Amino acid sequence: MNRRSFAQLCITGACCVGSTGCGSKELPILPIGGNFRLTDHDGKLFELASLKGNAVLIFFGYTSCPDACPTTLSKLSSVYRKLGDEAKRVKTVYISVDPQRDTPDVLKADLSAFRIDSRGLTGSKEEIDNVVNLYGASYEIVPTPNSAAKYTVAHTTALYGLDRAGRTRILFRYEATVEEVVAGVKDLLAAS
Amino acid sequence: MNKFSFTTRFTKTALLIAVSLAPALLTAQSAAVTVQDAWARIPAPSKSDTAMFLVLENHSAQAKSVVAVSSTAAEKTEMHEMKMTESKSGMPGMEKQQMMRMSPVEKIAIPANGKATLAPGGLHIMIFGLKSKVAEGDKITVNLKLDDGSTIPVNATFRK
Repeated sequence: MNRRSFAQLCITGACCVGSTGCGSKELPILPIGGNFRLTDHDGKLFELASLKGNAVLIFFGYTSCPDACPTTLSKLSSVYRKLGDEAKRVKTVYISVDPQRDTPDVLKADLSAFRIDSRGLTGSKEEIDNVVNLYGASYEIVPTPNSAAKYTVAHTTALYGLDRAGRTRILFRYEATVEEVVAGVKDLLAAS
Repeated sequence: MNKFSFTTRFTKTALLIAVSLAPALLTAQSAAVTVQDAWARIPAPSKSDTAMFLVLENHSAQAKSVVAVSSTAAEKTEMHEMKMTESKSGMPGMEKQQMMRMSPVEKIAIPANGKATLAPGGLHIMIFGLKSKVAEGDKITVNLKLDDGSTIPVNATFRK
């Protein structure tokens, strides 16, 4: 089985929302992702490669999101708690697709509500779009003139699991449970 | 006691009784729809907007709808829905991702003898501009107006 067809199988199948039935040695290397640079929640230049040696969880969102993003962050809080000591080797990267509202200060304040080792990232629209494309994600600014929200941001909801070498190995679906993400993270830490 | 003062007193008494009975009558009218598990998410530290969730149960044989929501504790409240759709873009050889979309809705239907569940990942009430900071366990009252003219006051508890 070639790499692409195995990747396709794993994304549509159960093994990519967790480790069930997918031994750590068998985790595919998915044809998405890679190193990038953005601005972190301290206003400093951030490079993904600086997290090598850790399992990394990446997702795209925006802090004004009232539902999907806080749900994912709450889930990750539970994941970190369940991982115990292993959580020290897990970093979360939250990439804002709403740079107009999500300044570094806003990202820092809002991520502080969750007990996860996270970096909130922002940048220019062009910089963010490059990373969105690199990871096969997408988003869309949707004006809502009849709502106090003014606009919402439709965005993809996958959680990307990267191994210690920074390679994308698992795509967790939005519905993935805490237990599935915990199992997947253990596989990412063990993956060669 | 002259006739005029008796009439005035009688009218006042009748008004008092009517006013005191009104909430009971209103409750009786809206008892066809009951509310369970009402909660609101504590807003992110830099935000005063959040979402509220609950389950509405319609005990009558007539379908009903929530047509408006209001609260004196916030600048505005609206009914919204989150939906998952398939992303238009995608990487070759990979399944298309789910895309989260958020949009206002004009009403929330509660089927006859059925339920409407407002829960994360679906329908919810958006609370914009909370007028005070809230903590775990604090309450907010949001009034739901139904299409039968009744109003249901809902007390939701804030939690993470």
